[in-house]
Amino acid sequence: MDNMDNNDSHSQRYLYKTKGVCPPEIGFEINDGILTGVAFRGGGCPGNAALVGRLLEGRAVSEVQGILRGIACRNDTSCPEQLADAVDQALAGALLPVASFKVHSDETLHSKIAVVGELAGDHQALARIIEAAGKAGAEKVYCLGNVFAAKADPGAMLELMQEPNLVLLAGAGDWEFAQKPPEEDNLVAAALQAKLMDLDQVVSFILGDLAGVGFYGDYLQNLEGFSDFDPYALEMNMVCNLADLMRDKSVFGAVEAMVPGFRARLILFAQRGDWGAYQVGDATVISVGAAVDGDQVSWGLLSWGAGGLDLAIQS
Amino acid sequence: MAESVRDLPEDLDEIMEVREWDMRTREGITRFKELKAKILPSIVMDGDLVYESLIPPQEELIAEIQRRHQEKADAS
Repeated sequence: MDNMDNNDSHSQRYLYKTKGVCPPEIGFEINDGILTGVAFRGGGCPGNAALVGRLLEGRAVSEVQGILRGIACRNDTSCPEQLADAVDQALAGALLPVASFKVHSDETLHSKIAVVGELAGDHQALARIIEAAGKAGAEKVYCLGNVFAAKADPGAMLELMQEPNLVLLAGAGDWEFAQKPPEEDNLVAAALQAKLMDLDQVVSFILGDLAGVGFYGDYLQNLEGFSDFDPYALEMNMVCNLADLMRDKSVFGAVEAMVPGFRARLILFAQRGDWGAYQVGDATVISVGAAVDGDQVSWGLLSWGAGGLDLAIQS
Repeated sequence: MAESVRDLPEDLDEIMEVREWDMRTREGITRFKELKAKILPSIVMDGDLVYESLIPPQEELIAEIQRRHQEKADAS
């Protein structure tokens, strides 16, 4: 699992908005006084910026300040000066550490996967989908959120979460519920909250020849540490913002122009709640419909075969 | 298209200010929508969407900038 929110309790991730230099943002981590992951993002010379990041990797913060200061480039500052300012602010507590979305990286090559949208806490529906997906040959079930709802049975949901081929992602509602103060007299609900808080929020996967990514929707962009330059942020920005959850077809040409910058060529999202499939350049975007609609339960079987990608909606 | 704007003669700097929006960012997308643009790349002058997708020859671009500047000068 590739967790962008570093699991090491001593490591803090920072984002710094620059002033007067080409890259608008610098990302870095400080781990017990050691600087790592320096990345100048969004502009400037990417080769030089990558070199600077590589040269600084693993150096003590106290050591790098002397290296970074006193370099002029433009507007009486420079990328190194901006990084020095950022590190100074981080050490002084003026720049606070931030966490972005958590990514579950499924690196197994798949030929069939099941995708599930809004579950609304219906553990019985989820159990039926898992069984049907298994019979249909799906190697994994990706549930993009929301998993939980207020009416749900927390105990039953916790039990289902143990399913080995199930990848559950937190949707906006899950995230909101997870952050509520836990009810002291309801230990099961509190356990579920803790579990939801722990859920990843994005899944990356490989289906046949396609690199894929799945997520719920635009709440991820409101996370404190979300960066427009994070992996898969471009896909999110295009789908959620520019194309308004793929409802605004008039801008598909603009989205297509951005596709070469995508990491994924298959993009799944669930926020809209209805099914839709869109080809934009060589990227396929799928709106995953709600899993539960009245008595109806639906999910999608995505297959890769000789004819390429196929989506079969099952209900 | 961005290159065609960057390569404009320096003397035009006195009559115009160039702002480039990064469409990878939410800020850039918001501005793109405010300007009612649909295609990338696009060139907007004084809030008017003037060029979409097609890259104008530099002479045409310069002429359009100068025409707008002259219009403003005549109006004031």
